[in-house]
Amino acid sequence: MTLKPGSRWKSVVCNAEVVVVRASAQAQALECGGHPMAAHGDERPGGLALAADRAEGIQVGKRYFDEETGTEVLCSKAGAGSLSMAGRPLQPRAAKQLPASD
Amino acid sequence: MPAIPEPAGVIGDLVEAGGLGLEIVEAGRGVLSAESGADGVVRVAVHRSGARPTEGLDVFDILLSADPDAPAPWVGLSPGSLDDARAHLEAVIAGWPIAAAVAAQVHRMTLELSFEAALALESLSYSMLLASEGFKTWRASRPVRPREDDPGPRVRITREEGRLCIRLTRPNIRNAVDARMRDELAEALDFALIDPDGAPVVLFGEGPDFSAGGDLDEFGRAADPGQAHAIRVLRSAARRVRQLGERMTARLHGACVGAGIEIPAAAHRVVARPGSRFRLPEVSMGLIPGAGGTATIPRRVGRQRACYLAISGRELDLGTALAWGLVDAVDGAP
Repeated sequence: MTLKPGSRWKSVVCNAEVVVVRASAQAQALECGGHPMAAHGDERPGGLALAADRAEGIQVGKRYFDEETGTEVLCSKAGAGSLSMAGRPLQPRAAKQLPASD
Repeated sequence: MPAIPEPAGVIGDLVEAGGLGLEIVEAGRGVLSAESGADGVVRVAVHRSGARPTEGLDVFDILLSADPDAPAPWVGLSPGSLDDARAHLEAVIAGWPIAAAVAAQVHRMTLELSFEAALALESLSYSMLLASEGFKTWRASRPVRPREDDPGPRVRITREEGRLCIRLTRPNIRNAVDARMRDELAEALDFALIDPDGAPVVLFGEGPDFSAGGDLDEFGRAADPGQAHAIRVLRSAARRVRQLGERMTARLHGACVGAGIEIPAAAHRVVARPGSRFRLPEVSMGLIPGAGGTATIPRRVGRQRACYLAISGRELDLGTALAWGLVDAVDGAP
């Protein structure tokens, strides 16, 4: 699993898809729903189940990051699984809030 | 409309000296020409009957005709409503001479500029007006209502039948655009721009109205007009909507006020449901449209009709919006 910027990955247990927006030399396995994600073009292997503790879901258009390695991904398709890297849950990155402009 | 202050003090002196205010030229006798050379004067031509002038129109900011079918750049009214429209413009320009003058100036320039430069011009002008007396007078006349901040998301993105749907989700206050909605909408459109699927993008508003425009309770909160300019340019939804090009459709319904038409007007295609209506209220708040409207609307309807909408603040019905090209199609589908 090489997480190059722009590479696309899909969950093997739900509909989620992500795009890598920031890669890291230290990046580890990217998981969704508790299972390593598959390359976008690959077949989804059958017989795997969503892990109960990785089932909060991800939302399209939101960014998620791993603080330890600096890896950041963008969700391009929503799904029931939540993201993790080598078991560490990824955190949603909220857009920087700026003050009123009126 | 709030009570209109009579121009007094320096403003009154400026109007008297011919540097601000309004010049009305009645068409019908010979060539149309404006006398006023001052850039701060709003120049309006009025055509009542007979042959409609076709030359010398460029010097005018607004052209009113009694013929409802008058083509661009005229605003086609009716014989019965012409004087009312004229008196209304006089009242707005007397009450808000600086904002009206700036609206006219910006509309004179916008089509000479690139789209990005037109947005910058608008934002610079808007920030200046935030610091001006007219806007402060409006704010003082309309105290901010205390309201619980609703912490829920302001924008929702979903994929539906191959389309990327972006929805404004603040229906309880008619999708009023506050700083949070501005930022969430910019983020959603940024995602659309880099969407690996390159899907068509559709912008909707939830609830009875597409959007009532800027959240009035937030107006006047920008403490620093310089910072406000930088933020407005950085987080411009109109710029992103325009960048999406042919992928972008806006689907409008109900009231589309201020930002609620300024942003969608940047879309490649604008579709509105029956009953949609459009209005730019900013000049009578001492401001000009600030969500990109002076860049987006003139590119759809021409600068003089756009200037009429901006200065008059009057509601445009869907039939006229369609005839002018502010809207591309009417469709009842939700």
